[in-house]
Amino acid sequence: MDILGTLQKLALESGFGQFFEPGGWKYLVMIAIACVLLYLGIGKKFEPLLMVGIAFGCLLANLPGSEMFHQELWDAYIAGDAGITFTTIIHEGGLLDIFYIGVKAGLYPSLIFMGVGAMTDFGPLIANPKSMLMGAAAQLGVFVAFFGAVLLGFTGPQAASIGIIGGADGPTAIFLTTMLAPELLGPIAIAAYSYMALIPLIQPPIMKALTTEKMRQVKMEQSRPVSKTEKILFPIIVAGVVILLLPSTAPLIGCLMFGNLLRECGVTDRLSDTVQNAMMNIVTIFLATSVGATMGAERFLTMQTIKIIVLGLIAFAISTVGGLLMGDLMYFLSKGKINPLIGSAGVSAVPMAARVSQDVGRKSNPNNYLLMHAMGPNVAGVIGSAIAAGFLLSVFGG
Amino acid sequence: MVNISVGTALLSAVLGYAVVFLGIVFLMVVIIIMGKAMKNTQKKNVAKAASSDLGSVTAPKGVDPKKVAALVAAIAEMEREG
Repeated sequence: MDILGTLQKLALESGFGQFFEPGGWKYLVMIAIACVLLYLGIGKKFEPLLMVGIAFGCLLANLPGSEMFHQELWDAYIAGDAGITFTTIIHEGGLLDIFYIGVKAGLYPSLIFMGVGAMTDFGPLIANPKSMLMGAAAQLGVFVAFFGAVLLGFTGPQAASIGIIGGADGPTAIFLTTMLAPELLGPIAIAAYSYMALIPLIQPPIMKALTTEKMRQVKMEQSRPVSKTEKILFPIIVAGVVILLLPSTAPLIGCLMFGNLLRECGVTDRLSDTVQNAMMNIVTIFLATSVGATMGAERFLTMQTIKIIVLGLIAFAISTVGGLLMGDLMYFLSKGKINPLIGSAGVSAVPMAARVSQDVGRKSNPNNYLLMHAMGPNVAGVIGSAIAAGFLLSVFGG
Repeated sequence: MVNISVGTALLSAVLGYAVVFLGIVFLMVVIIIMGKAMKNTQKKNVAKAASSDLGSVTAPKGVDPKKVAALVAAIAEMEREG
């Protein structure tokens, strides 16, 4: 037995050996990126519940020889190769390929939306339905970024997936991207969750630029109380109306409203608790790691990723502008009764964007408590971004 | 609709934004109607409770009966809500 030859063969076939093959350096770069994302998630607490999973999924998939994720299997599946089905992937794929089936089937984002619905109190929105207009206006960034992406050379489905970053809604972005442009899932997920974590840095300068000190000091009247019956009827009515209007929103809006109904009906507390906690946590683990696994070197280390990162930031900023402009309009129309700062909460990063409205408002008027008022546009933004996604899916879904 | 022209993209963007607004406005109107319907139903229930409880309550001497009726209706409503 040639001991030296055997050792040499083992070394070359090991993961370490594969770093020295042509293109092997890209794995090292992706491992470094995974480490940076882990630092952002753990050290800087950037959306840690998703970021840590995405980062570790990226790390696992980019360790040469791990065979945890096979992009070529999914490329063949997407191309419609008759021989590749979910069953094939279960038999021939790695662990993260099996996790990814839930992403590709649109299951995980829908289940996460169910959890979001179970955690959301739509009371402030029901009490002040006009605040929904700010949630609608804050989707401006979606369509501006979509247009910008087409100008930069992206295809229609890719541009739609990039644009939805402006909706500031992770599950919606993942849902739409999986359907329209799965090859961009990694950078879009990173952009979406990173910018959501950076909302306290991105929004305040825009809020100060588009409002005056007098506007920011407006103290809003307490909202009317909302009855339990209204809170029970709300998810049923919203699900019916929105899905009939735009059937492609059914998975997201349906699950969001089902989760909310479980919370509000008062007779399914156990289910509500499970959906908000155990189920959400389990799905988050599977979703995050499998999304991270799609960040292969060949796909991620491209100029496209840089363009997506820049367009994502533009989308976020312009969504904030859209919500604030509607807030300004409502301030004037209401003769100074509505504080325009709540308009920036129309981006659907719940409850972070509402908290930012509260914090900026209190800097101008320490006695001002805008949080519950801002929750109205904030949760309206969730519905607005789902409608935007539904529209883009129906146009580009094929 | 994979590769699209700039004109088509602009049209899609404007149309999409309009659809979001239309959907939200439609939903807003439905919720306002629901709110008003609930308010009317609650008023009717309060009025019913006030008129049914009024007969069994006699105002003490020197106290305005209208004030007593209003208090009884409010208490009935609170009990119903709780």
